[in-house]
Amino acid sequence: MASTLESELPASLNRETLMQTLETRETSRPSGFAPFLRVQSISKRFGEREVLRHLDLSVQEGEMVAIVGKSGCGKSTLLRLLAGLERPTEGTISVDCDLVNGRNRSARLMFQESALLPWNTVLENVALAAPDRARRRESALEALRQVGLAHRANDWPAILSGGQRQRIALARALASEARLILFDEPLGALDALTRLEMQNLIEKLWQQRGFTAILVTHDVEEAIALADRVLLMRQGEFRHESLVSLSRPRERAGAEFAALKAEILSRVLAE
Amino acid sequence: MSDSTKWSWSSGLVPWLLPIALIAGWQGASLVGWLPGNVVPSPFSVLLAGLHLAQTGELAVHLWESFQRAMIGLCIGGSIGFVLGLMNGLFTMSNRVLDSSLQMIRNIPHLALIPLVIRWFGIGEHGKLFLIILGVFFPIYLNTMHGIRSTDPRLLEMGKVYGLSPWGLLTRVILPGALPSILVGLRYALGIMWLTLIVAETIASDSGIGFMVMNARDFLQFDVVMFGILLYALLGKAADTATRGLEQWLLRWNPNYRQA
Repeated sequence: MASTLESELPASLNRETLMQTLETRETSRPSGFAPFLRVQSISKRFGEREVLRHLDLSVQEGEMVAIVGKSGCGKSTLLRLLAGLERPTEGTISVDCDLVNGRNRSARLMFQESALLPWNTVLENVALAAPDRARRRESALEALRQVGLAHRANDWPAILSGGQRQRIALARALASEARLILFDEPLGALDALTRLEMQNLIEKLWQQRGFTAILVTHDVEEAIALADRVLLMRQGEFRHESLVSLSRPRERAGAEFAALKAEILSRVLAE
Repeated sequence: MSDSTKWSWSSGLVPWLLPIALIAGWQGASLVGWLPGNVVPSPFSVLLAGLHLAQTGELAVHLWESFQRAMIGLCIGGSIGFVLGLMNGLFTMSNRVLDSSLQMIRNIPHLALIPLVIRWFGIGEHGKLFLIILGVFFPIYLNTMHGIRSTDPRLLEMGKVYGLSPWGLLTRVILPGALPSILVGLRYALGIMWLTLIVAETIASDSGIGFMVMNARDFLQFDVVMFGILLYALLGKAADTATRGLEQWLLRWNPNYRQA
């Protein structure tokens, strides 16, 4: 854990408890303590405005981390830095001990709007991401099956609903076989029911495929339902970290869930 | 089923109702004698003149000449417009160097150059091609540039995240996105192409529909003159229909362009 964080973290959070929580999930993970993703003291300034301030973050392989915070707190900027769409003003990002310089090849970003190419069919949109050129079609179809939309493979995106388009975008991220998937409020534009369905789908696929996930959201409930830990961001800094040790699939009506949600919400709203 | 086919058949007929009525009225007026035949020939005599031209083979020769000119001019002018539009849409640097000069030239009506063109190229093919090239260049240039500049930045970002090369970004994201705008440019260009062709062939030529019309005027064959004018209308309409078809096929992903 990064030193700047430790002062504000609850006593229960140390590396051992963290690792224990993680080990309950059955995903293969390299042994040792080197984190899969390591962000060291990054800052990002746009002109005079400082959006991120000396941020540290370590994520283990296969972990799902949620970042919550009010809009404008810098959480989307952090994702863009992780994806390599922007460069940090200071600090470094490394994946598997390799420094990310320019585009992050092991990361794929899922946007709030699906960003599908309207002139490509659903299948072509997903196939665009598949790394193995020879097997593009097959891996795209496989990914579409996993999100339950293989039967729409030859349709144009324009005739699909918002929820279906986001599922296609998810299939595209899956087809890329990325080890790190960054979710930038992927469900923000969906209605409540579709959002619930999508959350279950994301959790299921994450458990099956074992990718590492960073989820930026302003929905605290979504963060608790999906993530291993929830980071609270304010004014470009992590202010709090909560481990979510509830067993999966998580029962949202439970007392523990509600207590955690109330606690994080009050922290988000504070100030 | 039969209801819907009947409906689409009759709705396909609607755009033709007005031209048919006009021609019928015209023929009627000619028969009654309101329109003297040596001033406004009747539709029937125009048709006969057309048939006669077709039989002698004159029509095919002139049509082919005009068509060739139009297409060569369109291909050359369109290609230059497309390439420059692409460059100035993609690169700020070339845009800053070229665009304001091109915008300046654009404001000169290209037909105003005819006296100069005749001086430079004589009355041969090159002058006519030059005018057509100049005429079709601007609509294609402007619309290509506009289409490329209005590429959705979110799609570009997606392409970058998913590892598309610059070439992949161009062919899979930028150009398909610019296509609706480029096709609008093409339709404008086709209109200007016919107009330029008519004027150029009327002023200095020894073949083509424009020549055919001017020649007929010298011999007071107004039925042929009228036939030539109608021919232009038909050719323009055919070109427009062809591009509409092209739009409907190329932009079939876009609900706005799906067959109404």
